[in-house]
Amino acid sequence: MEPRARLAEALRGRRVLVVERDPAAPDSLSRQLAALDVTAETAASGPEALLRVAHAGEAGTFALIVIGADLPGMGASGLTRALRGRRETSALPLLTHPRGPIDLPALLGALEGVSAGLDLVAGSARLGLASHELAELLRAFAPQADAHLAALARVVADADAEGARREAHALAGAAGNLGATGLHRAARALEHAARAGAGGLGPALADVAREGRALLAAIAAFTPAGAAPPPAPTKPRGELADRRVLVVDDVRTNVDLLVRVLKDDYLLSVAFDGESALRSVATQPPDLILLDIMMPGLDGYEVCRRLKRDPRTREIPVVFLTSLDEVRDKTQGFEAGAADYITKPFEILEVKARVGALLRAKAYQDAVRELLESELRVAREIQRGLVPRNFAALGGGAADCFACLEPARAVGGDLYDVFRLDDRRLCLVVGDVSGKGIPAALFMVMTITLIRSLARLSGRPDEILARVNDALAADNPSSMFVTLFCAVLDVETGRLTCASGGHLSPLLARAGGEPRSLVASEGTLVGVQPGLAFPATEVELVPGDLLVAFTDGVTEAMTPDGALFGEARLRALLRGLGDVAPADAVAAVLAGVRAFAGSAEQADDIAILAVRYAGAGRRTPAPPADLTLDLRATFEDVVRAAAAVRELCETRGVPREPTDDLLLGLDEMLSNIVTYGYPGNPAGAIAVRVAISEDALRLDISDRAPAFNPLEAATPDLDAPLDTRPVGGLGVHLARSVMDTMEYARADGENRLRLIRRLRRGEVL
Amino acid sequence: MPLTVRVSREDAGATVRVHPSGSLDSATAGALERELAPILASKVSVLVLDLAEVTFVSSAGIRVVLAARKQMADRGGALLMANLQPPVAKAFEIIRAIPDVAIFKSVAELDAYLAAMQRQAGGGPPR
Repeated sequence: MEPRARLAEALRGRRVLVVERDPAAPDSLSRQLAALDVTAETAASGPEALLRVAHAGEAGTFALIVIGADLPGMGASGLTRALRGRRETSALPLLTHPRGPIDLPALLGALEGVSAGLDLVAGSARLGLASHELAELLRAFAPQADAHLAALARVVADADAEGARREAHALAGAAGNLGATGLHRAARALEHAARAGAGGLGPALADVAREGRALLAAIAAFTPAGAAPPPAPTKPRGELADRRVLVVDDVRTNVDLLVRVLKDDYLLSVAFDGESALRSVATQPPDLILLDIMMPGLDGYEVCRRLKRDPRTREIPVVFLTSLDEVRDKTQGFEAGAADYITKPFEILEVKARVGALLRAKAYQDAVRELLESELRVAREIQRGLVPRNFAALGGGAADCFACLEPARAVGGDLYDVFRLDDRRLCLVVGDVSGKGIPAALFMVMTITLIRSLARLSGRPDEILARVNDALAADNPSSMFVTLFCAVLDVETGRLTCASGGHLSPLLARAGGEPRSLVASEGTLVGVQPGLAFPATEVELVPGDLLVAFTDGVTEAMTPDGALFGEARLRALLRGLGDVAPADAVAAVLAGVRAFAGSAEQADDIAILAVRYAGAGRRTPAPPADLTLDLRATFEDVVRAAAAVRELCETRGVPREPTDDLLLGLDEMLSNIVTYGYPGNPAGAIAVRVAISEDALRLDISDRAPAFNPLEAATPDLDAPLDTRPVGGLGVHLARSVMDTMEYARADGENRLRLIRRLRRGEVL
Repeated sequence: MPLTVRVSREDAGATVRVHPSGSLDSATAGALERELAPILASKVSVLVLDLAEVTFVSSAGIRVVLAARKQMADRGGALLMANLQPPVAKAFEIIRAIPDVAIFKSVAELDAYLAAMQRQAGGGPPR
C-alpha cells in the first residue's frame, strides 16, 4: 500500500491533535497533515494541549499527538513529560516533530507502533536522534529484549522471585528509555509483583510476553525516514568537548542510547558494572559519571560511596540514572554523594541539559581552584622568601643557626627571623599569628616587616616588642594578634636578652642537664592592646648550649586519635639529640612531630628556630703564619709591612717576581684599608699574616673597619682611553691580575682578605 | 723602601728629566707627586720619567704618572718614560697604559728620539 493510503487507513475515524506555535502558518504541521488528507485538531501551547486532552473524554482519546518545535510555555519536552505523567495519556503515541516538512514514514511508524505502545520518535527532539539512528538502536535492542524475555520465562518458571525482579527491572528500564511504553509498564508491573513477593507471576509474565512480541513486530516493521546521512564526525565539538563522561549501566541498550546522544558533545567512557567503573575512573578520570544503581556486583550506591571517600575522585560529580524512583531511593542516592538524580525513562534533553549544567559548573569550579592554587603557590614562595634561609654567615662562627617554616596550608601565620643588629649582636624571633591561611599570612608579613624596621631603632627585645605591639594595636580592625618571642644574643659574651609576647617559652638544652624553659612568664599577646610592657630577662649562654624556639604547631601536633605531641615529648627529644648542628636539631624535631602525627593532616603552622652557641673562643683558629704583623692604619706601617714581607721572602729564597706580586697585592689592599676603611683613624688595627709554603705565598689581612668588600669594586674599563677612565678599582684590578686567588669574608666583626700567589704556576695546587 | 727623586733640566728648561729611585707605592707616590707639581706648573714641553732605579710600582704610583701625562698632554706637551724595570713594566702592561704613553726601552733610544724632535723645531712628539 502506498504510504499516503496507509496513513488514511490507520487514521480512519480517529482523532489527531497537533500542538504547534502557529497553526495558521502556511507551513504549519496541521496544514501539512491536511495536505495528506488527515484532519487534525490544533493546540497552540502545551497547557492548551493538556486541557484538550483532559476534556477529550466524550469524543474518545486521540490516536496520535504531534508536538511541534518551539512551543510557548512548557516546551516540547515539558509537554511530553506532562503527557507521560497522566494515566490517560501515558501510553499515547507521541510524535515530536522539529520544524520543517512532516516526516511521513515516522508518522506511519508511530501509528503502526500503537499496539506495542512504542513511540517512534524518529528524528524527534525527545531523543535527539535521527530516524535511522533510532532504527539502529531498536535493531540492537531486539535480540536483547528476546534474551530478557526468555530469561524472565525461565526464572518465573523456577519461582525465582529475586531473579524475576532483576530481569524485569532491566527490561523495564531499557524499554522505557526507547519509548516502548507498553513493554515498560508490563515489565514494571512484573517487577513490583516480584518485589512484593506475590505468588502467581504467570499473568504478569503473560502481559510482558505479549507486549514484547508486539514490540518486536513493530521494530521489524519500522522503516527509518530518509537515507542515513554520512557518518557524523566522531570528535565531540563545543565548549566542553574536552570533558569526559563515564556511562555506567549493566543494560547494553541504555549505554548505547546514552552514548549516541552524548557522543557529539563529550568524550565518553563506558562500563557495564561497578568494578570496571572504578577501574575506568582510576585509569582515565572522567569529569562526570552517569551511574546506574541496580547492577550485579557493586551497586551504584557503593560505587558512589567509594568514589567520594577517595580524595582523588571526590570532586567528580555523580548523576544517578535509574528506574528506582521512590523518595527513599533518591535520598539514599544523595546520601551516597550524588550530585543529581534522574529517573528512567528519562528525557534525553533533560539528561543532556543536566550533564551540560553539571560539567559547566565543574569546569568553573576547576578553573577557580586552579587559579586559587596558582596564586597560593606564588604567595607561598613570596612568604618563604621573606624569612632568611641562608644561615651560614649569620652567627660568625660563635653561634650557629637554623630555622624552618612549615605552613599547614599553602601560606600561614607562623614566622621566624634571624638577623644581625651589628657585629656582635644577633636578633632571633619566632612568632605565631592567630588563625591560618591568607589573613594570617598578611598579618605575618606586617609583623615581620615591623620587627625588622623597629629592631634597627632599638637593639633591646623588650623595646622591640613594645613598639611592634603599639604599631599593630594602633590599627587592627580584624582584632588579629600574634605571639612573639624576641631575643638578642651577644655572640662575644653569650649574653641572651629575651622578651616574650604571649609566646611559648623556648627550650634551652645544656650538656648534662634537662632541657628547660628559657623564660618564666610567657607575657601578653602582641597586637591587641597598646601601651603594654614586655619585661626582658637575661640568660648567659655557655658554649655548647642549644636554644630551640618553636610554635604550637609542634607541641599541639595531633595523632588521628587526638593525642597531643606536648612539651614533655619535645624535651625528651631534645635531651636525646646530643651535640648535633642546629639544622639537624630542627630536622629531628620536625621528623619527631611528623612521625607522631602519623596519617593525621598537619593541623597548624609550624616554625622552629634552633641556635647552637659555640662561644667567641670557638672561632675558626687563625692559620699558622711565618710572619705576623699588627699594624696601625698609617702609611708608615704600610712601608714597615712591605719591608718586613720583602725581607721574609728574600730570607726564604722566594724568587723576585712572586715577591713583587705579593708586595703589589699587599700595598693595594693595605692602602685601601688605610684610605677608605679607617679614614682619619690612624689607630685602626690591621693584622697581616704571611705564610710561605713550597707551593704558594699566602697573605691574610684583617681589619675591624666597617664591613667593606674591596673585591666587589668594578673592573675598570681597560680599553677606554686613559683620560676617560675613573681612577677607582685600578688597585684591586692590579692585585687581582698578579695574584692567583683573592677572597673576602666578613666574620666576627672583621673584614678578612686572603690573597694567594702560587709559586709554580701552571700546576694545580 | 723610601723614594728619592733627582731632577735634571736640558734645553734651557724645555725638557726636564726626573729620576725617581726606590719603590713607587702608596706610601711614596705622594712624594713623587710633590716633586712633579712645580715642573708641571712650569712651561716644560717634554717631561722624561727615567724609571731605571724604580724597583716597584703600585696603583698609587701609576696614578701619579697618569695624572702627570694628562696635564702635559692638556697643554700640548709630552710625558715620556724610559728604562722600565720588569715589575714596573708588568704593572703598566696590566692596566694597558702603554699605548697612551711613550715609553723607551733605554736612555739611548730616548735621547735619539729627543734629538730628532729638536731638529724639527716646533713639531710635536709622535704619539
